[in-house]
Parts: sequence; structure tokens; C-alpha cells
Amino acid sequence: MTELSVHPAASKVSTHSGLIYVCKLVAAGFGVLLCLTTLKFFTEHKFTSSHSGFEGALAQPQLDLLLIGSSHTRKSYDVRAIEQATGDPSLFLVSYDGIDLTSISQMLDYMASRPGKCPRHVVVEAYGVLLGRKPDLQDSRFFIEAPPSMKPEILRSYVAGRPFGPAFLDAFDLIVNRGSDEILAFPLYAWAQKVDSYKGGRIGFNFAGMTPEQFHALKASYYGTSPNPDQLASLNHIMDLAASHHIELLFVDTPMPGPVSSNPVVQSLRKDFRNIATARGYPYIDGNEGFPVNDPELFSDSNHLSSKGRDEFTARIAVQLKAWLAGEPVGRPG
Amino acid sequence: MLFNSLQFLYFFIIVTTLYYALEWRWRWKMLLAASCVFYMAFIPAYIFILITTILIDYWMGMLIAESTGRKRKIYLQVSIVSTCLVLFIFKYCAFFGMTVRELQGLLGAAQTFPITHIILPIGLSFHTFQSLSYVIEVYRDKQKPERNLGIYSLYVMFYPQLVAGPIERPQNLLHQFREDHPFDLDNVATGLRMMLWGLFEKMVVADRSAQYVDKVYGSWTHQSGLALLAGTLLFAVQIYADFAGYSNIAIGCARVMGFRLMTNFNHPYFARSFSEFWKRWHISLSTWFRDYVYIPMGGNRVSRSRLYFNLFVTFAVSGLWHGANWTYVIWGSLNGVFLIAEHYLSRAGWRYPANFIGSLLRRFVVLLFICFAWVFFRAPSLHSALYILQRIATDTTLSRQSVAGAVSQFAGDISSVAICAVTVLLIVVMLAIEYGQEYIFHSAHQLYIASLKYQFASTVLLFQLIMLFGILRASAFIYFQF
Repeated sequence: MTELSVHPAASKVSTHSGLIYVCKLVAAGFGVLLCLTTLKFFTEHKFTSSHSGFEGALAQPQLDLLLIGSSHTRKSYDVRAIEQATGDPSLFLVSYDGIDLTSISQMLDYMASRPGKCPRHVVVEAYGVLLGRKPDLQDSRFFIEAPPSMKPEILRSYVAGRPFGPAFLDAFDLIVNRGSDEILAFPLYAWAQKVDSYKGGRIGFNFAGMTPEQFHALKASYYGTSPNPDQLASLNHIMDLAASHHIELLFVDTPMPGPVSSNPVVQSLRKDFRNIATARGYPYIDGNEGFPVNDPELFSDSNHLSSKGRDEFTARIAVQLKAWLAGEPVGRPG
Repeated sequence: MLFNSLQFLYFFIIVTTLYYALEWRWRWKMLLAASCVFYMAFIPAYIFILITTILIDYWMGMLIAESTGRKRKIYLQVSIVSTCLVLFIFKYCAFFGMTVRELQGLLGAAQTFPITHIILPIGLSFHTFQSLSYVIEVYRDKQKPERNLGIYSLYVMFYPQLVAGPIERPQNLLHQFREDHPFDLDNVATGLRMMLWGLFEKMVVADRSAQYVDKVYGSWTHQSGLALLAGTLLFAVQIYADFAGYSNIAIGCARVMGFRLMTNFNHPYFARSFSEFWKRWHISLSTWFRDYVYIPMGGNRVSRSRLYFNLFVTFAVSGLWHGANWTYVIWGSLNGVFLIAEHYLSRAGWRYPANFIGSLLRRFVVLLFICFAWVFFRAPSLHSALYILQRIATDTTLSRQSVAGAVSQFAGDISSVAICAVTVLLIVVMLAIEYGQEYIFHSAHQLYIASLKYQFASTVLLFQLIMLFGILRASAFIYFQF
């Protein structure tokens, strides 16, 4: 910025008046910010599309089948193909990057407590690696798109067990800063979501497969080697909720590339997840079983299916979902 | 301690409060101590390198002033060689080793030359140049030697400009440490506003652009021509907003305490020629090279071929100053070639049309070539730079698919649309304000200057923009690595 000269008359100010000026400036800055942030907190979920996300699921007049999970879920299901295969038009997919069982249980809690919003069938992503992670909020869109009454609970689980300083700064960042772009660019953003989404699923994007060199260089990454107690509690809470609200629950672990899927820690966490779910009598489908997990073309990175992989998996899972919706046993029943 | 961190905010408040609370005679001592704390926040042990440079140049400055004839030149040479040696050891040793190894490989010999990797002390290139500037000015009798070691140390270490400039001249800065700066609301308000504008440039424009640039240049082999072109244009914005932002924070920070540092950027992307661009970009470094490299080589009072040689060498060395990599040397050399071509065409009588279209065309051509050179500055290697340029030239299409693919690089999901739109909008806001300052709103600008109310309102608005649209997690400034 070009250095600004100042009006000569303004320079005859005492230190005391100067300090008052600076204090007023700081107070006005934070005062306006507080007003804007409060407004944002209570209205930002209105600036989201009814075509995707949690707000999109809530906007559905009737919800029979809900697919819920992280980016694995988003990139593994072709919602349109599942709709055609199952003949169920009242389905919706909700996905947020890195969303864990704690956040999923918060969403299901909210839906279950609202008349007419509770889905009859829920497919929960059973990504074992996230079972070993401390509850976290990787995708701030979950907070932004959540109704205001849900936000305190999301914040509480986000900052729980963390030192005050970093937790405060992260919460500040989340409440004040995140989502501002989506609000400012709302008409464009809503249009893009409408074009890009079909019942919460992504359309129109092509995720290329990997080269054999890239595929064989893949390494598994994980947060912990054993289930996190908070995530376990959330998993049990989801199953309790399903039981109390007569929700049909199905756990599905989507396919992972062979070099990652075969990692002992990943396998151990997957086994833990499956055992917990089936012990309570809930069906569990391991998407890796029978899937060509060693074909590089079917995966776009260490975690996600390519577009070709998604089509392959959708064709397989759609058959099982149709059977499950018809009340037939699928996967590994408990 | 980054300017855009909370740590620095606390530091700044404490130091400024102490500065005005202390008596005048204690202030420079407190500032020196604060500057040491500031520098040691990075790598504490490296302060000894800084102290070594300070002691050598302080001592040589005294010896130069006290001696006559050939001895003066010898002391100057000792100072330059020893200061540059420090720079060489810490910045260029590994680069030199790798270059020798490559030569050994080319000659078919075993690549046995040892390579030593040392962590570069932060801001080394800046404070060594500032230190050298003092010794040279003393040698030229344009500056009296500073006899107070503490004041001289503060000249080299003054924390607002210690790690990335502006590279000050002793004539501008040294005397200010001996002057009393009573609390002045104008200075405080102007300084705070400059700091806030700098933070806007850094946190809102540069860091948002960086998200895209880092993604695209970090996986350049997987990117389309359009994404690489967009990444290059955004890098041009990023490096300007990042460095101009840093400079504004530094100048504003000093201004709050009553110090006047030199202007470092003057809307360079509005330049209509390459020579004008370099009068507007990183002014403190451009003038340093002009005064201490280009003019001593003969400047422009030489034959045409020698003039072109001088220009080329100055810019190639300037490129090397930026970083120990051939990409920087190519970047500097390219800018030298652009200037030479401009000079040659101008002498050959080549002119743009003297109308609005001509003026626009001039700006566009300068921007185009400057962006071309930025590819070498940003790319990790020469090979990647050439690949990126080739990809931009052969694979840039404007189909719906390619635009969607390029936009999605912002965040990898549908939010990319919103992030892209807001980033472009904020860049336009920044450039529009700068354009307005330079060309349009002279009277409105005067009105703005005259009224504290307008200043108050604009400062509050700027703060909201930073908080709502800035990247709040502190990230390093690009020029800190130099």
C-alpha cells in the first residue's frame, strides 16, 4: 500500500487521546466481528444447497434409505445407479471428508429426534481406520451445514480433551472464518452443487485410476492401532439409536487398494469394527471381499475408488442393498 | 515468529508499549533486546552468525573511516569477502557442491565432491546486504561510521525489517535510532493501517492463492495446461501479495514507533515496461544492485554491448541472490534478457501505439513475460519448469471439463467453486484499490486521508475481511527462505 500521509491537524493529539482512539478501533473491530459471526452462526446453514450434505438430507420430504459416511462413501456409490437397481427413489447420500462415528451419531441423533426426518434404512460407512482416531472435525462443512441447535454439540466434541489454546483458536477459526466463501458465493455455489449432485452423490466428475507404479508405492496410514474409546461409544450409540427408533442399520466397509487393505493394522481395525457390529446383531459387508483390490485402475489414491472402481463397486453393492431393503439377510449377519 | 501469528501480535504489543513507556535513552536498547528475541525465536544459535557479521562490518567500518589510501580498499575488500563468505557457507555451499558433482558427471569422473547441507539462517541474504551497504557507504564517504556498536547492531537487526527487508541504507535508518519519536497518533494510525493492509495482502490474497499454487506446482506432472496456467497466474499474485504484504507490515510496524522505512513495492503489475517494473518491484533490492553492482560495473555510460552485459550480469546475480538453485539464476537472467530486448527495440524505434489500447497492450506484454519468468522461480527444477511451460503451450483448453478440473484444484471438492470465486473477487478488490490509488481517486484519496472517520471505518472493514476470508493459520512468507 502506498504510504499514506496524514492530515496535519490530526497530529496534535495527546498520548491519552491516541490510546483511546486505538482502543475504540479495536473495540469497533471486534464488536462488528462479533455481530457478523453471530449472524453467521445462526444463518449459515441456510446458505447450503438442498441437493447435498446434511441440510440436503433434512430437506427430503421422505427418506427411506440414507447412505452416510466420509469421502469413501461419496466416491464409492453411484447414487443414480443404486436408485435404479433398488427401485427406491427416496434415498440420499450424506458425506463429509473424514467424518467419523461421533459425527455420524450426532447426525442420526438429530434426525431421530425430528418427526418425519428419521430414515428407515441407514447404511453407515464402516471405515475401520477411523475407529482408531480421536473424534475430530476434518470437514468444516459439517459444522457449517448443521442446524444451529446441533452446533454446540459438534463444537463440544471437536474441542474435547484438547489444550485450551489450540482448541480455542480452532473453534474461533471454525465459527468465524470457515464457510464465509460459500456464503459470499452462495448463488454460484448453490448452482454448482445442483449441477454436481444427485441426491447427495457426486456426478459429472471423473477420477482416473492409478498407474501400477503409483499403486504399488501406496502405503497405509492410520491414526491409532486400536479402537478409540470415544469412537466405540459412538458406534454403540448408533446401534442403540437404531434399536430404539426401529432403524434398519447396515455397516459397509468400502474397498481399499490391496497394498493398503492388506496392512495388519488396517485389517485389525476392520476386524474390530466387524466384530462389534455383528456381536450386536447388525449386518456388516466387507467391500474388499471379492473385489479386485489389486487392480490399480479401480483406485484413484490410497483411500478412494476411481470412477471405474466406483461403477464396479456400485454394481456389486446395489444387488446386496436391494436384498437388504427387501428384508433378506446380507453380508455377515450377527 | 511470523508477522501473521498470534505470537507476533503479543510481541508487537509488548514491544510498542515498552517503547513508548521508556525514556528515549533506553528505547534503542530495548529495541535491540527485542530484535534479538525476535531473531532467536527462529533458530536461537544462528544469532551468533548475525553477531559475527555485525562485528566484522562494524570493525571494518571504523578501520575504513580511520585509514587512507590503499588500506581503505583492503578493509572494504576484507569486509565484503568475509560477509559474502558467511553467505556462501550457509546459502550456496550445497548448491556449489551439487554443481561440481554434476560437472564431474558430465566429464565422466566419479561424483565424489562432498555436499554439505546446512539449514539457512533466516533472512541471511537481507541482513548481509544491509550490513554491506553500510560498509560501502562508509568507504564512499557518504556515511559516517557508527561508533556505538549497539546502535550499529540495531541498524542490522531492527526487528521489523530483519528477516526480509526492506534492505535499508544507513543514511535513511541509522540516524533515526538517535532521534526521539514521541507518541504520534498519525504515525500509530498510519502504521496500524499499513500493517492491516499488509495482513490483508498476506492472509487473504497470498495465502488463498498459495493453496492453489502449492497444489498445482506440487503435482505438476498430473496437472492440465489450464490448471498450470492458472497456477502460474496465481503465483504471480501470491508472490506479490506475500512480499508486498510483508513489506507493508514491516514498514507499518516501524511507523507505529515513529520510524520511516523505505517503500519496497509500488504497484509493479501496473508497469508499462520492464524497466518500470523493476523500479516498482522490491525497490530496496533493485536499488541495492543498481548502486553496488550495476553502476560500479559501468552502468549505462558504456558501449551498448557492455551495457547489455552489465544488465545481464546484474540480473543473473540478483537471481542467484534469491536462491541457491539454477531456476533462480534462469529467472534472473530472463529478466535481464527482457530488459535488454526492451532497450534494443526502443533504440530501434519500435513503439506501442500512443493510445489506450497501446497502454493496455504494454501492460499485458510486461505481465505476460514476467509470468513466464515466474514459472522458473516457482518450479522445483529446470526440468519441471520446461515441462510446465510446454504443457501450458500445448494442453490449455477451455472446455467445461478442463475448467471444472482446474477449478477443483482449490479444494478438491465442490467448495472449490466458492473458494475460486471469492479468491478471484478478493484479488480484484486488492488490484482495484491499488489501481484507484494510482490512477483514479486522487481527490477521494485526499478526502480519505483527511478524515479520521474514513480511516476508522476502512480499518474496521479491512479487519473483518481478514477475519472472515483470510487463512488464519500462520504460514511463512516466501521471502523468509532467502
